[in-house]
Amino acid sequence: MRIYVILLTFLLLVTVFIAPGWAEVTAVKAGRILTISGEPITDGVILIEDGKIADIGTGIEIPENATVIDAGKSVVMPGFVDASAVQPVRGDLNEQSSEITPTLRISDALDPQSKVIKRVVQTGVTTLFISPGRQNVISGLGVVVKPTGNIPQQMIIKDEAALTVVMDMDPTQGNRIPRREPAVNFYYRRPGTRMAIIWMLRKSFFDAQQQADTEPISDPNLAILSEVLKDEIPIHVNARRAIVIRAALKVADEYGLKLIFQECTEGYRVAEQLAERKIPVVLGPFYYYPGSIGQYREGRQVNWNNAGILAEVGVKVALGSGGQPDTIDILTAATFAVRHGMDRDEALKAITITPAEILGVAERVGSLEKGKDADIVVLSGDPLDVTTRVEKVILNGKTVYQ
Amino acid sequence: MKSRSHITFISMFLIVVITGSITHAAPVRRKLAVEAGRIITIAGEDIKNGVILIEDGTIKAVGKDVDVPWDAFVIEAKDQVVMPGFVMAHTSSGLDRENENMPEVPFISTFDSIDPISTFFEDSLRDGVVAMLILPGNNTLLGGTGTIVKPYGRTVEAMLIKRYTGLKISLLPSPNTSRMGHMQRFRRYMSELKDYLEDYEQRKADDEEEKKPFDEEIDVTKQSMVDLLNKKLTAFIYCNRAAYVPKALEIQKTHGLKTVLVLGPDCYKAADLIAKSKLPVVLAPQLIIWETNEQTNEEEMKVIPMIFHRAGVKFAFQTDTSQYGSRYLWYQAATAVKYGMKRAEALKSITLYPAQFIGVDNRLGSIETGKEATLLFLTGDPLDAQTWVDQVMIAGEIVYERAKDERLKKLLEPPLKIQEPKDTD
Amino acid sequence: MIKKRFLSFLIVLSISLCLTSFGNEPQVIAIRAGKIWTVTDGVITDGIIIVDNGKIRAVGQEVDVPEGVNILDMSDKNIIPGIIDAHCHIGLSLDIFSEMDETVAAIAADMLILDAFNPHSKDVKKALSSGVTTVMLAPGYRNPVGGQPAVVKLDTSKANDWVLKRSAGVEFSLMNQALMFDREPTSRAGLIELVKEQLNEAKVYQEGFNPRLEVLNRVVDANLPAYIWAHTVDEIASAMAIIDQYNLNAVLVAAGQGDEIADMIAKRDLPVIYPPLLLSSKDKDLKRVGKMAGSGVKLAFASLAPRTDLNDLRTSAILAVKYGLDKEAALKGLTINAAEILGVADRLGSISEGKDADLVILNGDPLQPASSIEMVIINGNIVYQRLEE
Repeated sequence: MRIYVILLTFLLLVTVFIAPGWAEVTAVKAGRILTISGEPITDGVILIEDGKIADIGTGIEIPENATVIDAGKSVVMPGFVDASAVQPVRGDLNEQSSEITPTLRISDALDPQSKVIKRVVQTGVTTLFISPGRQNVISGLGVVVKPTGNIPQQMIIKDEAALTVVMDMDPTQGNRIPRREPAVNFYYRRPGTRMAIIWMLRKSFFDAQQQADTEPISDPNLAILSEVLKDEIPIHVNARRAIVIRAALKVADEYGLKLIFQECTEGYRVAEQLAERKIPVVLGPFYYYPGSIGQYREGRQVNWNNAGILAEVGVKVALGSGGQPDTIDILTAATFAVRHGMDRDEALKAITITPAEILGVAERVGSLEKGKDADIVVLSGDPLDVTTRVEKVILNGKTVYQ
Repeated sequence: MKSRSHITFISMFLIVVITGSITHAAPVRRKLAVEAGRIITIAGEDIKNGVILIEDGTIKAVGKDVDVPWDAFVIEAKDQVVMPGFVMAHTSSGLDRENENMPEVPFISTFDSIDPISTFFEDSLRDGVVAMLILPGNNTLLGGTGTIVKPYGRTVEAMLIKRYTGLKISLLPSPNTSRMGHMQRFRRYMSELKDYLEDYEQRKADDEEEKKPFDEEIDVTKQSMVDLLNKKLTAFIYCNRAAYVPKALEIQKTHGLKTVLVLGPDCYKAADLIAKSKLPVVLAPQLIIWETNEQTNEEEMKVIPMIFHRAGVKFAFQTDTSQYGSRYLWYQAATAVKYGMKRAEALKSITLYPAQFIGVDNRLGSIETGKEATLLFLTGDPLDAQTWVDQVMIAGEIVYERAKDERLKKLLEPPLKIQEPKDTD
Repeated sequence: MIKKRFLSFLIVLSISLCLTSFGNEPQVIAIRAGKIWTVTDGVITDGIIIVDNGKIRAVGQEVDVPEGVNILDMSDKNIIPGIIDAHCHIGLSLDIFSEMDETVAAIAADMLILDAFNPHSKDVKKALSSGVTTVMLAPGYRNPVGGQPAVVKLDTSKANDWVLKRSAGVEFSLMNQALMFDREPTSRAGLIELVKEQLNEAKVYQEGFNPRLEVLNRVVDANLPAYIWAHTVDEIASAMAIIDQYNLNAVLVAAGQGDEIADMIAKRDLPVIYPPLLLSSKDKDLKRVGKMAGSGVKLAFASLAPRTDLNDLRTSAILAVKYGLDKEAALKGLTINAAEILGVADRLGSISEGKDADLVILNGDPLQPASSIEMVIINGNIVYQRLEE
């Protein structure tokens, strides 16, 4: 009788002391793993521990207590990174009371309950860059988030990730000129033209430059711009037309700014210049013909192979959804980019590691490597096939969609 | 003397032959043989390494072991996929204006409004569409009659496949009208029409009795509606929401019309009702919609073609000019396949079924002996996004070649190098 | 002669004084009740409350009733403490529809809501007849930094005693309703920036002549509570971030969707003033309050009248119980919790010795919709009595 008691106690002690040592491990087995950072792996395994990739490759031993997700013949890729994502925020994306609002943090308006989040996850996107709106010349600071969590703080992986500047005609919308009527509210102001936009941008950076030797800078707006001048905060310029892109390059030269372009519809016309200056580009919504947007009847000339032409000359190209709720599927964006002439591998990079690098979060996301976040998309077939479905999405090691 | 006549004879022969060949710079060949790596017939199984024999623009034979006549011009397409051209069962693009201002205009025809230089036709041909039924838009109760055209030709007459096909009825209430007002307007029109017909028949009968010649014609503004009642025209009834579907079915039943339903995305909610009616359906371009479940507050994705497919409804796809895929009929089919539809059925929904709905399936929609030789030469599988339409043949004549598509080149290739402007400061 | 006149004058004076004192304030009354819901000490059946000079001198089953004292016989009735409406805007509208929001300027921290209060307005009478004896008068949710709320009793007959707190804190709003089209802020991010800017300025404020910064400075030093409007989860999360950053003494107002992060609210000991539960509310929203209370968050009910047409605050509590709230928590939400949150628990919120005699007498269980209010007493005076039909 005693023996049994001793044995039982022994077993209990064993479980009590050893159990905590058993970490929660998940193993994903797949027919084809596209790591993006290296060669594709056939019949490989990804081990996930504590939301990170613990190991990846072939012939990996799966611990006994691990939860096994057998993705059979499916294709596995890193979770997609949308560097120009649709915004899960509440309220206006722009602070209308002023055109220069560098201190505005769009992270303050994040809404984890937004309907957009569930849709975005179902398309395989696991990291998003949310930018403030396009109606201010300097509209504020964007944030890199993951579509998870109950409160905004749980979503954010990099706050104040970049300053958004808009140089196409968008900031002029809604501004009025007090011709016959007196100015009754703050909408009676500059800019009304492209030259005013560039003037305001120059003035802001000029004022910030003047403060370069003061520490600390009392004006919070200038403080942020000063950090941009010192290259501590990246700057994203929203520009569609080639003439606007060229103007932006001029301003960049004057102030020594390292730019990143967003939208860049006519980027193909200045491809060589962008390559020379090593300026990365996040391509926004794709249009077959310029009339498609309607609002801004600028003389945009579209080239369907914008992404391919830019990538060909060595520009770092990321494909984003451009903040349009109807086109959040960036895998389709990549598929059509290849159709129109982009290299396959470049296109797959354009929705994974390239945007991660542009956003400065590449040490965490963008490829399947040891130590990175376990953000994984399981696809029913080749990623660039329009009949392929997203079967499963794993975020931080947890299955969030299947 | 002998040699001279030889020379004259030979030179005359040469002249005839040369002039003959010059005047027919691009001869429309009578006999063709297409040797294709894969033939998707739609009517049956795919054929690997098959041959299609064409004579005078009609398919004479199709199969694996087909004898190619010695005088047939061979089109080599060993690394390509050949399939029937795509057919659009309903569109309102390519018109000068989609809708007329007045609500009841069944007597007008899209034939008078088609704009041959619209980019819509150029794009359609490039994307493999070979026939489309162009009907008036969705904002007019009785919009007018439709025209089937091919997207190739300088004038509407040259593009014409079939006139006077289909009559558009839209149940979308006009602005400032309610649904009940709109339905009442329709009923009133039909009741007045029936009264008119009764009187007309009465006058006819009276004249016949009195052995008088009767040469009164039906009022030209009412002719198309009369043809509709006599099943000479098919009604294309547009329902933008599921609530309108029972109304459409009621109209079909009351007047015994031949009907095709043109649906908005919301109409998936009436899929079972539509299945019971066995009416053919043209789906809206938007195939995937998101709805919030009131009870659980969760976002739910609805795949519209699958809902109809599972209910047993036969349908055709439409396209729109939005981003990425839905401007292509093959992409709409691929989306359905993505969510579970069988390939063969999806491909039928962009070829044979729309051809049947608009009444041109005797000529188009599949590769079968006796049908028109209207084919697509694709660089790969039709549902592969990397596939391009390489050539389009309409009735035995190649009308589109991608290699010669200047506009496409401009849209895909880098621009010509221009001298960079020198900086002025 | 003069002596006699003087004497009669004195007699008349003293008699009239006695009469006046009799008419206005009976010195001592005893109330006999079938059920006394003390809130803090359980329910007393067949008990007696002794009211002396407007305060509760004694309450219990075995209480000595002094000689010659007026006895109010309520042996078949229920008595609860006067209901406290933790947040409302009654008496603030005269001719202009809404004087509860000073919307022209986004920052109105130096404004006192008491300046706009009209004690004779109809909604005050309505509140009284529904058993509400004390309210927190508050500004609305349309200003990022609104005015200073006040705590008042609804019996304004005596000149001084009805204002319990002239400035009970500062109201902030992080709700989307604080965004305007033509006044800053127009965006949520701008709203948060604005609030933080004000708090930063207040932090470094030294003595001066700026009443706005003066009062905000007291908020930043946690001397004055911050009442923060935040309804949805992201608004509540923003509120918590600001509370954490500036170490504020805060109360969440209208945190109706807070049940989803109730554990975070409970962890910070943040009390919540709950928005009204209406008959028109959705089922899923009515279930939230039970979940929130279950996670340990202290809740008080508010009517937000007249913005909502909740005429009877008790309805909120009754609906809450129907959809899962504990009965005890519901009653506390109408009384002691509100008192504690508003900082007046030394005087109000329960039927206990030493507290004010603010009582509501009903003809049935207070949390039953069929029960109606027969009498309302404030400071020992009958301020409302239901007319016999």
